[in-house]
Amino acid sequence: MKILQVIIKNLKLLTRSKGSALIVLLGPLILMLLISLSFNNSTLFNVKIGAYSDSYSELAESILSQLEDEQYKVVKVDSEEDCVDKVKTEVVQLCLLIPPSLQITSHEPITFYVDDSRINLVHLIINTISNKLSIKSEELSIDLTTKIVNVLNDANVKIAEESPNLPEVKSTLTLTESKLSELDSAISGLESTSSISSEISNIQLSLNVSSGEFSNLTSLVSALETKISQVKSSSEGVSSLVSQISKEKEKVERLNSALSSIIINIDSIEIKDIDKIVNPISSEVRPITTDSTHLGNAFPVLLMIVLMFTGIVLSTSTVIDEKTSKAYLRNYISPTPSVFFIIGDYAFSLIIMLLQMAVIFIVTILATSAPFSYIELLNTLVALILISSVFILIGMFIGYVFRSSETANMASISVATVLLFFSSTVLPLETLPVTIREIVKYNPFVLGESLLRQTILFKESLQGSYIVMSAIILYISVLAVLTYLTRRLNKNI
Amino acid sequence: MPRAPFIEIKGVSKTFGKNIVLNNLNLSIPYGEIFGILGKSGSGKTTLLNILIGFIHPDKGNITFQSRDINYDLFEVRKQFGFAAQEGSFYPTLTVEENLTYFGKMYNKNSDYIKKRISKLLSLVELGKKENVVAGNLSAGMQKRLDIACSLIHDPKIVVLDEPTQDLDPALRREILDLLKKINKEEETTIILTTHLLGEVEVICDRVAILHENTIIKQGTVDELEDIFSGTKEIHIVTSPGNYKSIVEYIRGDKDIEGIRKVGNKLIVYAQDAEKVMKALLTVIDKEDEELIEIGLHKPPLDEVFEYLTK
Repeated sequence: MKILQVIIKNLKLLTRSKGSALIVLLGPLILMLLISLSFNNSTLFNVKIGAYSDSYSELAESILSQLEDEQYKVVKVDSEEDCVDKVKTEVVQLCLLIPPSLQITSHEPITFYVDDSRINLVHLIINTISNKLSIKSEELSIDLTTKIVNVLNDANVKIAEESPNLPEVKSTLTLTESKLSELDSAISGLESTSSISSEISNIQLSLNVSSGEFSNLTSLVSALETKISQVKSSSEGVSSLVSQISKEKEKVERLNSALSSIIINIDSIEIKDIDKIVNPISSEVRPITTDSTHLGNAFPVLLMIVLMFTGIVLSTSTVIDEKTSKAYLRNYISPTPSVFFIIGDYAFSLIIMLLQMAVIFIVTILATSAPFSYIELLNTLVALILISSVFILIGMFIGYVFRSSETANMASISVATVLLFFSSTVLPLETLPVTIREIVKYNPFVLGESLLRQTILFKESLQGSYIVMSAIILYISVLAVLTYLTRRLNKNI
Repeated sequence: MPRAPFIEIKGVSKTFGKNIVLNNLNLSIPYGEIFGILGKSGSGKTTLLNILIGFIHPDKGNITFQSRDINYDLFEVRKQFGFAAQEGSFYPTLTVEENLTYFGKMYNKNSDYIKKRISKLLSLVELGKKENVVAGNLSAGMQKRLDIACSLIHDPKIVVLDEPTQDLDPALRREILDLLKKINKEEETTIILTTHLLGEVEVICDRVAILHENTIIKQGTVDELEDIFSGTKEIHIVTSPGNYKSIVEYIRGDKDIEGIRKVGNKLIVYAQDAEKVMKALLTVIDKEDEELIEIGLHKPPLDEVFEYLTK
């Protein structure tokens, strides 16, 4: 009953201080509404890319036109220095230095100039630009590969068409060789005319005729002898030709074998699909969340930021307002134990935060049409209560430690900022050294974000996050004890 | 004849850092009276009250309420105490009724009781038609009365008020003092108040304690305190050209003189045997060729005695 009175009193105090009520109740809601309206998409808008080249080749122009679309606008600049300066002054978000007269055969790389201090933007742009360049590069690669494959296919077809002629050539050569061999043998078989001359001499003796009677015949024999000598001498050329044909036959055989081998090799190429050759390993990035908008993916983080800042600042100001209020003394000397005021202030802050969360969820669900089942909402509610409790208790602890509202508010904002900084919101935790990361992963903001991602993005039950839940519950327990002790110590001036 | 002690403070000391605020303080407060604690600003009056209501723990000593040590059963004792701080102890953005209801609940009172009590208290402190007015919108006098009503919501046996007339104009001051008398009479509530204005104590207090240099130097009824200084009288002298230095030098050694001070162009001499001292003064005025403009004999008011004692 007393706790209820404390809650009602705090609600009245909050609602009657219109400025505070506006900031505490409407501030986060307006923030979330604006974020919902602004980031409920998956694109970038009007990102300017500076480009410079001494001479823009057709390929360079093609690349630039590939980059330009509704998100990216390419701005050609006058020099490399100008391009870099424009990145520094944020006129463009990235500078592209293209080698002069860029050709496929060029070996000079395309250079990106980026402003590393704009970490998130840089990664987002580089990712997209690299993808776009990869697409262009792939297009070029496909063109080149297509040409090569076409040439190979043509060669294969022609070889297949022409190679059957080779055995015919070989057989012709064999026949020619055989005929020439026969000719060679025939020539070799031609005998000398000396026996004819001897027979003529015998006949002349037997007939006892003068040699003049056979002079014509002797002349013919002599002429024949000459012709035979001539044929015999030319038979060496026939032998050489036979040998030559034999060698040519071997060459034809080797050529036939080589062409067969080429045909077999070409035929043995299993992958002839050009896309497969260009990208032998295909990959596909599939999001594990159903929502692809910036808001959908960033929703747990945004919720955490609102939860943390509201929780810490609201509870700090509730405690410090009570401590510095004129009524503090009367509350203190009343027979009401400290724990009632602590629970009352905690419950008040929790109610305000849950109200805020309820409105944020309604606005978000309406804005994004994201489906939520009752079980998911229940899991999320439990997660929100646990996370809110941690931040409320941190804020109350700060409120009891400090005496003036200025220092307490400064401390609460500082603590919230430190928790935010040592989370993945600004830089991925993976950028931290391992030892620090091991500590930072127990940052309540990190734990809370993890829990909300499980329940909101992945629609998982809380049972799977029992380690995170245990850590959060441990935080709540320790902070509750610390808050109680601090209030008791703080009261006894 | 003092009544039996309702509250007894024994040997209480309190130090903040190196600053000794209360040192071996002893005090007895009887039941049903209006008890004034007098002291200059910074004399430790508020610290004493804060110890009395249990907001601050003393370094040494103990406080008993109806013969019970208040620290043994603090919550039970607190139910018997009401407290009104200098600046008022309520929520300015809540209404009069909301403030009274809230503090009634904090004192474990049920709704019916609170409703009836609010009605009675608002009538007592004359805020009858202001129950729905936001406390911060009330006038200074009304806020003071609301604060007193808040301290009475749980019907305490004793109400402790820290400088209840602080920052109020004379008319409002009178109103509050009358209200305290009324509360003491109608509610039979013992009232302990601190003030540095002794005139107020003379008006309403039955008993007074003077807090000076970290401890109580005198306590008793107003009459008893006045009796302590009954033999002392004030001689007021105005001379021309007013060379009081030589006059003071002349009479300084007189054992009948308890104090001398200059207020404006007037020299005030506190003396036991005033007539004898007055003669001596006339002699020296004549000797120093001072022209006597005015001379008179007065009984010192209590505030001047207080001021003299705490100088």
